Amino acid sequence: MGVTGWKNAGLAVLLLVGLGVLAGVPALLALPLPSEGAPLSGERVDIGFGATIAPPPGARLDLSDSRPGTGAVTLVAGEVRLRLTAQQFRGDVGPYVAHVRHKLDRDDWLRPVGDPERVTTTSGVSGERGSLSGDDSVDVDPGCYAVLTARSIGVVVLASPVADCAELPAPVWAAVTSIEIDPAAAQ
Amino acid sequence: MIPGDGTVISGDGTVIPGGTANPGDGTVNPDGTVIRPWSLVRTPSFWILLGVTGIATAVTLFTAVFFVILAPWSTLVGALLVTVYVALFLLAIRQFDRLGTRPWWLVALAGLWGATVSVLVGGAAGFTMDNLLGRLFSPELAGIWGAMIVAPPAEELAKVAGVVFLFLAARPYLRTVFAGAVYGAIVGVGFAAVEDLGYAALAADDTLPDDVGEALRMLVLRFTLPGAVGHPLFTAVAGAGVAYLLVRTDRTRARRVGVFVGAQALAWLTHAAVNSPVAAVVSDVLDQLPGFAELTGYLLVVGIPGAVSFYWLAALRRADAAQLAERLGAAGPELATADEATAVRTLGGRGRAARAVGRAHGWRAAWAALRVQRAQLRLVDLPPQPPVVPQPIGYAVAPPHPWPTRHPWPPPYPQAAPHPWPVPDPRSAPYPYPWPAPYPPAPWPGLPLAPSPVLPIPPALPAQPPVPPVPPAPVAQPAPLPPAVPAVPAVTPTSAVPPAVTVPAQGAPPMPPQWGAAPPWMPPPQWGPPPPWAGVPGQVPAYGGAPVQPSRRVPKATAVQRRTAELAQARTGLEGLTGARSVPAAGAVSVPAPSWLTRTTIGLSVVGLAAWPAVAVAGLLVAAPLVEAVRRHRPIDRKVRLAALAVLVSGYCWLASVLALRLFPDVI
Repeated sequence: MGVTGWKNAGLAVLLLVGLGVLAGVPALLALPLPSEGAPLSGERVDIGFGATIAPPPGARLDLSDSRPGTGAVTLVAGEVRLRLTAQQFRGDVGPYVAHVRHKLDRDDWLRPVGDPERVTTTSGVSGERGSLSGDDSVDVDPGCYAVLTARSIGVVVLASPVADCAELPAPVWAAVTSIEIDPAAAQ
Repeated sequence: MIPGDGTVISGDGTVIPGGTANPGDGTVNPDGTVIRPWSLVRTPSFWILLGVTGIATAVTLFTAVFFVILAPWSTLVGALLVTVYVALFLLAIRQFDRLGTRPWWLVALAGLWGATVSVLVGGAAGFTMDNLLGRLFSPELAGIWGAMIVAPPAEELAKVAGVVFLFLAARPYLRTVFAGAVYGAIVGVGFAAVEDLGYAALAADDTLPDDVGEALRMLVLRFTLPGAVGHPLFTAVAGAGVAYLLVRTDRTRARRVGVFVGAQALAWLTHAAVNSPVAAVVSDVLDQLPGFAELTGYLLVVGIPGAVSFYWLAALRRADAAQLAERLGAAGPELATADEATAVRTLGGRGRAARAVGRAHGWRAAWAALRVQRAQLRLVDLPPQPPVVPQPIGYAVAPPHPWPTRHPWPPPYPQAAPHPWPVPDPRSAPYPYPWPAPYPPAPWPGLPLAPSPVLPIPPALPAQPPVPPVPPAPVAQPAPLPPAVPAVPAVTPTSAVPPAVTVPAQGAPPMPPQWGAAPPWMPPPQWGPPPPWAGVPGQVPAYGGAPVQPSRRVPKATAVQRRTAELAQARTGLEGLTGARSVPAAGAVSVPAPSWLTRTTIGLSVVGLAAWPAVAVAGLLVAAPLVEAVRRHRPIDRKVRLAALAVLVSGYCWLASVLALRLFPDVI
């Protein structure tokens, strides 16, 4: 094997290093940048699929997880993180809400506790809420979830860490009840 | 490139213009240094590629397990649909790449790179870049423009790296610019398959458990929009740019770099157009105007860079075909007549020539003509290195293998007989050695003339006279032969073989009669590759004779043999049908449709019915969500209904138009 064979091998290794740099350098550059935005001014935040929320006073956007308008927003209000997910679903509300509860258990290790309560927002959007306890096998903070639906649009809210829904800070719960869904805007 | 064009592929795949006259088995650089023929297993970058792809495949399969757990039925059904998608795309690529010879293992490696390494690296890079974009500017900007800004660099770089890797690992198989496009497209197909399957599985689990209909809807949407303007096209353009940079050494460096950069920019631009929210905005604007379909704007925004990409790839393909046809014409009438070389230059030329044959002798003869053209191009497109190993000194010529009809020419390379052991060392004899002075260089490539522990050299060895510069001489020039073997070859030693007793004449041995005459375009027949010192006065001469030991292993036919036999078989078939062994030239005469097709109701009905099977296939892709919706007693989405209607109507119109225009060019 000639010299060029080893040169090509060196180039191949360099190429692999370059691919690692492609994925790693943006992560390194993002490290010193703040992960949370400035405090929100109080204007409604567009979650996506026609859903909006009035953020709690002093809340900030999580810049990594939030993509307003696309269905994923995470608000940070003091110690509580409020993860909001909007999506369009097909069929009845029952299977959709049951699947939401199943995914909370499966993906986030948060098991619903007790029977869910019926909730209605100030704009008339109805849904349910329930407390969540962390799985015993993993160290997960407990929380509170809410599922709000209007026609084929659903908004899932996950607040943590809170002991249960009754312990949710009032401004945060006020923000949850401020959620509005305009299904026509989602089309 | 055909043998004998004066180019050498070195041991690592580097093209060395001006090397010995028989690439691959020739083993000297222009400067006289010894090289070995290229071998895949001796290429370290190939093993690196194999290792990286293997690790990435394991990781991807491990990830796929989670998809199966999340949505088992959706993943299964989606995998079936993706398999059909991959098969259709590979068939389409094959149709566009009728001229090239692509080894299956290289195609598999390209597809695996796209399906595993590119997906993993592209996904990770996309995630980190999107995170950086959100933190650096704003999450709103990242939400709207992120897919357009982040995906092209992250995914295109991860994919095109696979094409570069293929060049580093298997350079002799990538010798044209279009080859880079083809392997790039295959990388893109692998990427799109895994990416789409992942999206489908996630969509199936998004709002309902294992929602097969949602998974199918996602897949059909991603297959149909943007359709052909997808990952295969992006990476084909990027891969062609890489190939242009590395292959077109006849161009200036500035031009090659410029084309490379331009190709990457075009690939990124096309990808960005597909992901761009601008396309949706234009679509909404045009949707307000009467006469525009719902997706016209999107298709326009996506289609313009896509059309530019297709145009460039088509130009590359034409250039490659012209290059091959040029080689074919230079190869001489034994391989192709002047008419044949002219006809194969373009796709239309090949079709016209075949149709002309068909008009005169029937469709079977037209098909035979197409086979001849394909065999000619496949033969002339062979990689330059034959799969041979250097012939050790002192080995004999094996008896010709008795399969002259299947492998008419050239015969298989000789099998090495076991070497006599111990090897008599001429230096053990008192000076002057029986070898002609001056002392020759190491006769085995890469093996220095170091003292052997088995055959110690006496310490009183006198100093060797300096080697005077020797001008290269023709290979065919006779030279004296050594009476003994100078070096130990890497074979199992045995004492059962008697020492060398015969010394045949230098140069090519006579062709055994049962092999027939060699075609004139081939290099002079040689039993094994000539050594680099062959014919050089004062150097070790070519292989001497040794006792012949029949080979126990049946030698495999070389690619040249297989392709030559393929061409001969195609010519025989053509001769049986037309009486001529070559394809005549044909003018640009269109084939008139049979009158019964154009003038009778039955004929028109046949044309119409012929379009429907293809339409049915397209309809099935849309029908799956419909069936699923009906099965679940849910209302059918209005968009799905419209899509079904659009597929049926546009598919029928498209097929009917193509058939009608092809069959009735004078009527319409």
